[in-house]
Amino acid sequence: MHRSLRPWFLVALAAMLLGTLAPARAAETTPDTIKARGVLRVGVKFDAPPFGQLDPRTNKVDGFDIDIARAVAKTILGDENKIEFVGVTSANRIPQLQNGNIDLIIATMTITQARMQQIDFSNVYYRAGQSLLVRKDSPVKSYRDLAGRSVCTITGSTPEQTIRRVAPRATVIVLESYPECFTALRGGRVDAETTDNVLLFGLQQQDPANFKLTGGLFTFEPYGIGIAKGNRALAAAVNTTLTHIAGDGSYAKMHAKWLKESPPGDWRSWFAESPEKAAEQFATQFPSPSPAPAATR
Amino acid sequence: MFDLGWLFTWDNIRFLLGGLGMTLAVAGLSIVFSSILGLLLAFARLSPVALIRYPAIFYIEVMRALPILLVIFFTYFALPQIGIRLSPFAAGVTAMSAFTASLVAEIVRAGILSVNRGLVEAASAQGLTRVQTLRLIILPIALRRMMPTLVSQFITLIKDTSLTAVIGILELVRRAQIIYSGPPFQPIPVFALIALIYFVVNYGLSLGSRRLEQAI
Amino acid sequence: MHWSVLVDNAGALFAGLLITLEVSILSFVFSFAIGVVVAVLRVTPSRLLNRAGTAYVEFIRNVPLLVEIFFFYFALPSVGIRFDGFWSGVCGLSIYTGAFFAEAIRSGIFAVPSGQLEAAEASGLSYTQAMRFVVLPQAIAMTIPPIGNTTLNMIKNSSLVSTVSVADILGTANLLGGRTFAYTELLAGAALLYLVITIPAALGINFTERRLAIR
Repeated sequence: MHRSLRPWFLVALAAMLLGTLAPARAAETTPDTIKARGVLRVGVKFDAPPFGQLDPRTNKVDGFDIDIARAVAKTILGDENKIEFVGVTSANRIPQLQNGNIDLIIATMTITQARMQQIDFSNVYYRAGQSLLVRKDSPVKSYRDLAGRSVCTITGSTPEQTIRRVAPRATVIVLESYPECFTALRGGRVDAETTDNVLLFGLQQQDPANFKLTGGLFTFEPYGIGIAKGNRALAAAVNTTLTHIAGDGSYAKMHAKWLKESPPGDWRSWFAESPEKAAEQFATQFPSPSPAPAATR
Repeated sequence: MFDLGWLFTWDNIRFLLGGLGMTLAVAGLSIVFSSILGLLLAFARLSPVALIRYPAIFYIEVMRALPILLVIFFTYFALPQIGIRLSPFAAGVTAMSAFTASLVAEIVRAGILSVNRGLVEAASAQGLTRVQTLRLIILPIALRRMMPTLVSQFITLIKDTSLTAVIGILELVRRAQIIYSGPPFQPIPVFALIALIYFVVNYGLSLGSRRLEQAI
Repeated sequence: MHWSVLVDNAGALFAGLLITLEVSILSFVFSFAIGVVVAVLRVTPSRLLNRAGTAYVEFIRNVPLLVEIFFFYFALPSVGIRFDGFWSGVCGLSIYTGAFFAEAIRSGIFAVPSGQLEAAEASGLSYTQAMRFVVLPQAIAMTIPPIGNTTLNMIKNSSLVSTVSVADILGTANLLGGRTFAYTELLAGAALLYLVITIPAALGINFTERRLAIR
């Protein structure tokens, strides 16, 4: 009986090989290949209001990052709706881009030197800053007050690394998503949640009676759009879009729509800054973060 | 005691049912692939050819000694670094299939070995070829014997599908999180509801398979 | 490949190994206790207790472990009950594994035909002697393989505590992966650490099974 099993094994081997090779895709997508495909695939957050959120009621995603993505689709494909949104997390967005699953990452991603070894970035399109979200009655006023307390943040994010550095005596709880952290904060499991101010603001807006932002901004986080390494053509198209939306006033409109205010007075000084410069500035703000200003918002 | 009207809106139910659909899609595909791969691995492990047998033993023993969550992470984060690129959905299905195949292989092997040698010899004495013996005598008997274990393995697989939430698949658990992390912020009813959904699906499956066994 | 990342972080990974062992040992103790209680419930003459035991086993076995751990971690604080990630993991794992132990133990008790007890008593052994020398050895022999398998699964399942911020083997690998991007190396290292626990455990179970079978 056994000898006749050999063909079976060959079939198995072939199946396993096919199974592993078939889904492999070329990571290189130029504006032309995107045009040929007819749809731009963008990795966005599904759980990070007001930048990217999936609304359970409509099953649609919207937010600031979503509008930026639509602007890029308009530049490349001439239609802001020819776009496929793929949900990413802070931990998996870079692997997803390297996989070729998505053409771009527009997902509240800070430009850092470590990440620039993995992927390329567009110019800066937003500048956030790390802050703290706490209960209204919390005594925490700054990251310095976190010593001996617990603070929740997200796997694979820059705030995770920063908080360990600036508050070495805090207990850092690391979860997968902002809503998970917010649930932990609501349940009194942690004393604070830390990430970029705009994301904390999005969470705080869901329950402004019980939560507040505190501790000012203790970093600045230059956001960039992630592009596969060496994909110059796509980077150029993205940067053109950024210049365009800054010039025609649509950037200011998006800002007002999602962040409920105009861009800050100095926005033209950092908007469209090169990723190399942004990453260097991000790196050199440590190890001594500037003292926190009085209030965030 | 609790007003649960907010949870049982059509929008929420549809959103969760979509999650159940995703759970079942990942599980269904993984059941198919792991059955095929598991069957082949079982044959390979029973092969007299060392070159076939030992790789199969190695695969089975290593894979089933690992946590499935690690296999999922590995498929998703590590394989791309050696050039194998999968979407979260494909990575989820691949990981679940590759892992479950090792367990299916052992169930199938035990099933085949449980078939009486005498029966096999009688079949070949009757002039059946080896493949015919396998297909007509051994597999039908083995399949009946391994049915209960196989079904409980597939129920485990359906439960383990929840782990694909960690690579961002919007299945039942991930969607539940999206619901309870918004107003009115009540996780307990949401957890109770999805636990009930899993229970109905899995318990239904095990009842169904028991019925089927009795019917055969 | 940057395999040096494993050497550089050997201390952290080893600490993760200890956490995995700690979670596993605590969960084993609790889940075994739950298993014994529930198994006894299911063989008592009281119909109510019987039903309660059955309901526990059937419900828990059919709901994902992740849901149970998340329930402890994310849901219970909303009513003021707070376990940290470690204890949420241990509680979820114990409750889940308890259902499987209960089944293993119950099947062992039922596997010994009641006629044997009667026969042993008829041949002059006292009830305790009959239990001690006839029933229990067989019951234990019947129970060892499923208990061994359940324990092995529990050790592997302990990796789920990494989803609630516990730095066990997998949690540590993921945490370092987010920092260094060396996922392949770190996850391969983590796999090796799990194998160091699970393969000897599996061999031990096989050995015990065989020894009991020979008797």
